[in-house]
This record gives sequence, C-alpha cells and structure tokens, in this order.
Amino acid sequence: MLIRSICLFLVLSANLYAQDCNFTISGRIIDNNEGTTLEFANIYINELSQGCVSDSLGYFFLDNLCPDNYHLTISHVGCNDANFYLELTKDTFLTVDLNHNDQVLDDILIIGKALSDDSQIQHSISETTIQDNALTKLADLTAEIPGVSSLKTGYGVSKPIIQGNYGNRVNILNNGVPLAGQKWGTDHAPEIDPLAASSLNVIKGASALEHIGSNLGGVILIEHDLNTTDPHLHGFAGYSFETNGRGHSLSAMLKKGNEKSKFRFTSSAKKGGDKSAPDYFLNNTGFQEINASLLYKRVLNSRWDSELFASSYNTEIGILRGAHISNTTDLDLAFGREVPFFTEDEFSYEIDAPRQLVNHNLAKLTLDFSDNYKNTLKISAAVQFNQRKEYDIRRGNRTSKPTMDLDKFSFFSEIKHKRIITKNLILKSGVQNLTAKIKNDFSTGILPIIPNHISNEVGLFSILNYQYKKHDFELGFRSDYAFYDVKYITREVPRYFIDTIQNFINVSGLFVWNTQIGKKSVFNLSVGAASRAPAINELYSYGLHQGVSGFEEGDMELLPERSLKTSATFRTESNKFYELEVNGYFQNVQNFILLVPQLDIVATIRGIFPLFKYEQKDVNIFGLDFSSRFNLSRHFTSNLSASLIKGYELNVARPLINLPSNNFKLNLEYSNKKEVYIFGLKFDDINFSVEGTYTAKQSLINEELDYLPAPDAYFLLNTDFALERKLNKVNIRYFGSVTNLLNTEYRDYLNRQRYFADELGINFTLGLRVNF
Amino acid sequence: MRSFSLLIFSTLFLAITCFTSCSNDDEVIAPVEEEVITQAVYTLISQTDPTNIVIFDFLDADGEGGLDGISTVTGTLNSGTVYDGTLTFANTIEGEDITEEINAEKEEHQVFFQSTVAGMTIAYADEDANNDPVGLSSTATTGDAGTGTLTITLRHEPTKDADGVSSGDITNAGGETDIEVIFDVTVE
Repeated sequence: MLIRSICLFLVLSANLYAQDCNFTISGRIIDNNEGTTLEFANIYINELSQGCVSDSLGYFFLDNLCPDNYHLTISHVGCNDANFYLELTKDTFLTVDLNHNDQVLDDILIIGKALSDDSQIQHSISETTIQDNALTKLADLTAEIPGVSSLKTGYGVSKPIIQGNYGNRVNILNNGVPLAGQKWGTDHAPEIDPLAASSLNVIKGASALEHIGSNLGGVILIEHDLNTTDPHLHGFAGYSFETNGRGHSLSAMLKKGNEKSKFRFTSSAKKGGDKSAPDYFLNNTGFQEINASLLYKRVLNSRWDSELFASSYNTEIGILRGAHISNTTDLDLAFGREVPFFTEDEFSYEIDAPRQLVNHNLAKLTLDFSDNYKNTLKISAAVQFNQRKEYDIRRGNRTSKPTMDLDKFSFFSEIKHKRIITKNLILKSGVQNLTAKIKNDFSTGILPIIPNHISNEVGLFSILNYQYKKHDFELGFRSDYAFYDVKYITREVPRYFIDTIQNFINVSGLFVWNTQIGKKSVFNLSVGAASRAPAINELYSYGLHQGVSGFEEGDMELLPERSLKTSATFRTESNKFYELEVNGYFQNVQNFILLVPQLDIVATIRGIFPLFKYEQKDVNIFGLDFSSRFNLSRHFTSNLSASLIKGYELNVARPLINLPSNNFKLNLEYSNKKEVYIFGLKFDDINFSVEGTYTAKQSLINEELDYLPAPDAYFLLNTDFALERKLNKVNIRYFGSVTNLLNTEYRDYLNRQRYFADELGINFTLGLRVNF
Repeated sequence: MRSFSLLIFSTLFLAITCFTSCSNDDEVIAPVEEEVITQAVYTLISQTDPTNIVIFDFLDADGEGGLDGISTVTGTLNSGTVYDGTLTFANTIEGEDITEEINAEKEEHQVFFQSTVAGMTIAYADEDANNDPVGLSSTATTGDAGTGTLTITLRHEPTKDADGVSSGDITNAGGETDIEVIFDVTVE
C-alpha cells in the first residue's frame, strides 16, 4: 500500500457520560511527525455551521451539542481538509493526528520520510489542484512538479517527461493497473482523465520495481482513494470555464460507505474550441471528452476484501490544421510564415481532420487478503480496451475514413505478497503478467505504421525493506520476460506478411538508503539498474506519422536499453520558516532509443521527406531539481523551484535531443483559513497566488539534428485564486486563474508544433465547485 | 503457509491464462494502398509536329519510404516550340489511375510547374468550377536552347484565391504536397 500524501489522521475516542443536548466534543490536534501540537487548526461541524479553533496547546472544545450524526472538518494551514463522520451519543474526546509533515510546497506534497514499505520518494498533486484545473491535461498537471515537464504536440496532446525520460520509458499506472494505452508516438497523450483521480503521484527516483512495464524512467500513479466510512452520500460537483478556446468542464464525484462496503463514482465532460495564440486563432484545436469511473470496495469476511474498478475515457482531439504538412518544402514554407496556413478569423468548436478519436476502457477486480497484518496478499486482474482512430486530410472523399485505426486489447494480472517478517523487516514479492493484442483495421487504405502483434510480458519481483534505527534500507530485484509475436508487412512490393517472434529478458535491481538526520532532515539515496526491451513501435514502425509530420522507421535489430540511475535527495525544514528539497540525479543509459531526424533524406514522389529513424545511443542524463517554501508571515508564503537538466550522447559527445530546458518558478501566495468577510459574505478559506516562470532557451541542441533552432527563452506570469464558503451542509469553492497574464508570444522547445505556431495566449479560468 | 500455496496456485493460473491467449493467427489480407501515388507522367506533344513527344516519368515503385524513386526523360525538347502538356498520376502498386480521382476533385487540387530553363514557360490549359486553374492540362512553350530543371508539384487543398496562386505562383498556396518531382530538362 502506498502511503497517500494527504493529511492522514487518526481518531481515538474516549467515553464520558451522556446528557440531552448537552454533549461536548473536545480534543487535541497533534502533529505526529514532529510530536508537537497544532494551534489555529479549525474544527468545524458542517451540520451546525459552527466550529472552533484549537488553542496554543492544540486543544479544542465544542459544547451544547445534541445527540446526532455529525460531519466534522478539520483544517490547518497547508493541509488538505480532513473530514470524518461521528455518531454523537456521549461526550467525546478526540485526538486528531494531522500528519502535517507530509505536506509542503503548495500542492507538491513530498513524502520525505522513510515509509514502512516504500522508500522511494513520491511527489503528489492533490485532488483540489486537479479539480481547480479541470481543463488541464495530465502531463501539464504533473509538470507542476520540479523535474517533470510535458512533451507536447500542439495544445491538446501532451505526455509527461520525468527527468528527461518520456514515452515508452515512463510507466503510468491507473489505480495499480499499468496503462495499456498507445503511448508510442509523441502525439499520443496518456488515456487518463485526471478529474477521476484523488491524487497524482510521481516517483522520479531510480526505478520502481513493483510495477510491470518500463521501470527506468519514472512512474506516475493515478490514485483513486476511498477511505470513507461515512454512510451519507458525499462528493462534489464542479463547473469551470476558460476563455481561451471557450472550454467548459463539468465534473462530479460521489462517495458513500460503511464498514462493509463503499463506493466512489466520478464523471466528467469537457468541451473546447479553437484555442488562440496572442495574435491569431489556432484553428482546429478544439476537443471534447467524456469520462466516468467507479470504484467499489466490499469486505467479504474478516480476512478478504474485494475491489472493483472500472473507468472509461473517451476523447476527440483536433490537430492544428496549419501543422499538417507532407514534405520538407511544406515544412520550409510553414517555417517562414508569420501566421500558420489555414488560420481563420472565426472561432469554431468544430473539429475537422486532422483529428484523433480515442477510447480507453478499463475494468479491474482485486482481492485482498490479510492475516493479522503479518501477511497480505493482493490478487488483481484487469482488462483494458483501447481504440485509436486518426483522421487526416485525404483525397477522394476519404477524409472521413481513418488513416489509422488501431485496437488494443490487454489483460493484466498480478499477485503481490507482503510479509512482515519482524518489526524491522518487510518482504514484498509478486508476479505480474501483461498481455496485449494490437490489431489494425486494414480498410484504411494506408499501410499501418504499427504492425498487428501480440505482446506478452511476465515479471517477478522481490523487495526487502529493513529498518535500523534512523536508517531505512530497501533492496529490490526484478526480472521480466517479454515475448512479441509480430506480423509485419514487407517494405518492398509485392507486399506480404512476415510472422516473426522476438524475446527479451530484462533484469532490474534497486538499492535505497533513507536516513533521518536530526529531527528535521532526511537524506535519501537510490541506485537502480534497469533494462527495458525495445517497444514494438521502436522495432517495427514504418509509415507516415501524422503528429510527427514525418516518415517514421523502426529498427528490428534494436537491443534492450540498460540504465543505471543514481538519485540523491536531501530534504530539510525549520519549524516554521522554510522547507526545502534538493534532488540530484545521474542516469547512464546504454542503447538509449530515440527517434532521430535523418540527414540522408528520402526522395519520394512527394519530394524530400522528413525521415525519422529509431536509433540507439549511449547517453548520460543528469540534473538537479530544487524546491523550497518560505513562510514569510502567517498568511504569506513563497515557493521557489528550479529544474536543471543536461544530457549528451557519449560516443559523439553531442547533446541529447528532446530534453526540457532549464526552468525556474517563483510564487507568492496569500492564504487565510480564518473567517473573512468580502462584500458581506463570509468566506472561510482564501487563497491567492501570483507565479512567475522562466524557461531558458535550450542551448544544448544539435543544430544539424533539427529543422529550426530552439525557441528563445520566455517568462510567463500566472495568477490564481480560490475562495471557500462553508455553509450548513455544503462547502462552496470559487476558483479561477489567469495564465499567460502578459499575453506573451512564445514557443516552447518541447512542443512539436513550435515549427508552425505560437503557444497559447492569455487565458482566464473561472470555476465553482460544491462539496457536500 | 496458506498464502504461499495460494501464490503458487495463482501463478500457475496466471501462466495458463496468458499463454493460451497468445496466438496471432488471425487471417489477414495485406491492406489495399488506395491513396498512394507511385507514378507521375508529364507528356508533352508538339502542336506543330505530333511526332515530337517528350515524356517525363517519375516512378517510386514501392511507394513512400524504402527505395528512392527514379525519374526518366525520353524524347527531345525543341527550342521555340509550343507543346500540349498532359499530366497523369498512377498507383502502380494497386494498378490504379489516380488522374480521374484528382479530376473529380479539381477544386481541391492544383499543379504548379516551376522551370529554371531560360525562356521556358508553362501555362494552365484547364480550370475548375470556380474558374481557377488545375494543371492536368497545360501548354508548355520553350525559348532558346538551354538546360535546367522542371519541378512539378501537386498540392491538395491549396488556397487558390491567395495572391499569385491562380497564375501558378506556389508561394502562398499552402495545402499539402501530394507530388513533388524534379526533372532535368534540356532544350535543344
């Protein structure tokens, strides 16, 4: 079980005696991590709209209460609210343990402490942030974390880059299930609706061995939390609107539960039209999305629990019309344009070709066994079905016919066992299988870029965790066997199928040392060796790729990548004034697979073609992520973060392409959790922040390996606010933001469409959410 | 250890489920590459001497990617002569004539001729429903003897009303390039 980075709490109650409407709820708020008490925490009874604030010793007292069922909300500066349900039948004393230490750096919650069975450091994006940014894509949300960036193709498609690794190297798990989407291709975004998640967690460290799939480039965990034991229906409903693209988003979450069973249901619908750069519309950049998820947990008996999870993601995304080119002449023409081709003066919600239609459905069943907490066993099975259709501008009324029509069906199964051997020694082991079948619809009339194939991966792992005084050690081992059965089409005419089988064996190992230095600091060192089998697209791609505007060619002779990554993190905080984290990393990858633009271009009937080939290089990637928070006064805090990264190829000593530029972020935040009156309305929680980000020019690119030099450095100013009103039974949150406040014209090195158009101009977002 | 026996049992179960599902024996037929153009032929016939025929042929037999295409020129271009030009396109992989398809979508297509041979000009001899040129039929006029290249470009969805486009200037045309072939030209 991964520890959630929300403020956890424990409630212990003590019995006193009872009287009619004269009951009391009293208690004490403590911070477990520091062993101190928390003053100025708000304790609020939602039903009565009344509450109190804890005193300097952390005590609070509420009296004259009738016997009833109450929902209590406990909040403290810098914490997400803790909610719980209480059936008041007697005077009650509560000890509320806010795990306050887990929360730092705005929404970037850092678990810097050694956890009992997971020593890797995780960074997290909270549900509040996700919901306040309802129209933001997964990769752009995780890009809030230092060291994480987003690799974009236009404005609706982005994928996360974790410390220089992206695509096939990044493992995304949706509620524990490795996302069997179509992550090949830079123009394929992860098939995930962040609005369904209760948090997004990122592991940047060496290698997370517990999961099947690539473990050499970081892991993103989409968490779906359900720890309610509240028998009443709770949840939220939210709406947001953004001006740029005139986007709307509706989202809702419902949850309910008791000791025996509980559920969480989420749903969201989003729609947007043409976005705009500071000076012009970006035509055909609209999108629409409709998603739902359901999590249901049921206790079967004292030892067995069950969990059912299902999610559905469905989207249609328009690709900038002016970025659709076919040969280098078109490309050169597009470069020279002030305004992209096909730019119109009219805004439209219409989505024409080029566009993508993507559906991803997942169903998972889990059985949990636990025997007095000495042994826990988790058995999961999941099926996923992914459909991707891409449409291009075509001749002969074929525009309504997809150029690519791929179905992917996959089956995942997993058995994990955890044994607490002694108080200090935990052993986790497991076996996993991921089988996928990919099938093209050949009626597209175009040679498929990815061949039909079956892939089968079987892996096993074992992780030993040992705690000794203030030290925590983890030693892990993982081995995977990958089997591909591919039916590819010959590259010569006449064309026919060749059936081929490939096998790979991957071995990974991990060592983590976590140590507490004094009371306030933690040092974490992780060293991981991992290997990754080349993916099908890297081996067999052959064809035109819409989003990449080029001809993509795989190499069947590719070898597995072998990575050795060392990551060291130091985290420290003073009682009240600051918290900071520094993470340095060095990764050496042999046979690093990358898509390289070719200099010996191909002459075809369409003229000279941008040709990209998968090649292998030995590379070094290293960098530094820094984040800090300063409490300037009781209400003002400031966050400063920076990500620096460098990478180069070893044999030719030239820089590695597609690495993020160095970036810096500074924000100033005002927050007030006490009652404030604005225009006569009472607000209980106010947040306002201004943020400046500076992205340096990527000076480390190889001129000959790109069509255009890297875009210039840019500075962006953003601001956001949130106001919360606590009413009788509901809690209303008003939120909004302005991004690119200065309407700066800029292009980003990591956006494939930087060749064609500017990034987005100013955008205002306004939203309202009712929590009940 | 009940949990361990369970683990072993489940592993077996897992192995069975995955290996039985691993067959890739679906009947598949190679897809029809209906949209590919592999051949472009520009034929010039002298208006004054019908036996003076010049053929510019570009053939990329395996389509995009793979082997490079080959361009061949047969016949002799005479100086100071007016030729009727016809452009045809074919998909030799599927044995299809693509010219008809383009002819049916005249409004969405335009051919551009760019010659570096001094004095050689190529004018449109056809038009679409909007009276804009297409370029499947053309008139080529040679000047003095000389050498250079001829670039023939077929654009899909060009902006035909953009500045200069209808008179054959490709600069503001936009759209996608369906064909772009270059021939060496000698006028004798």
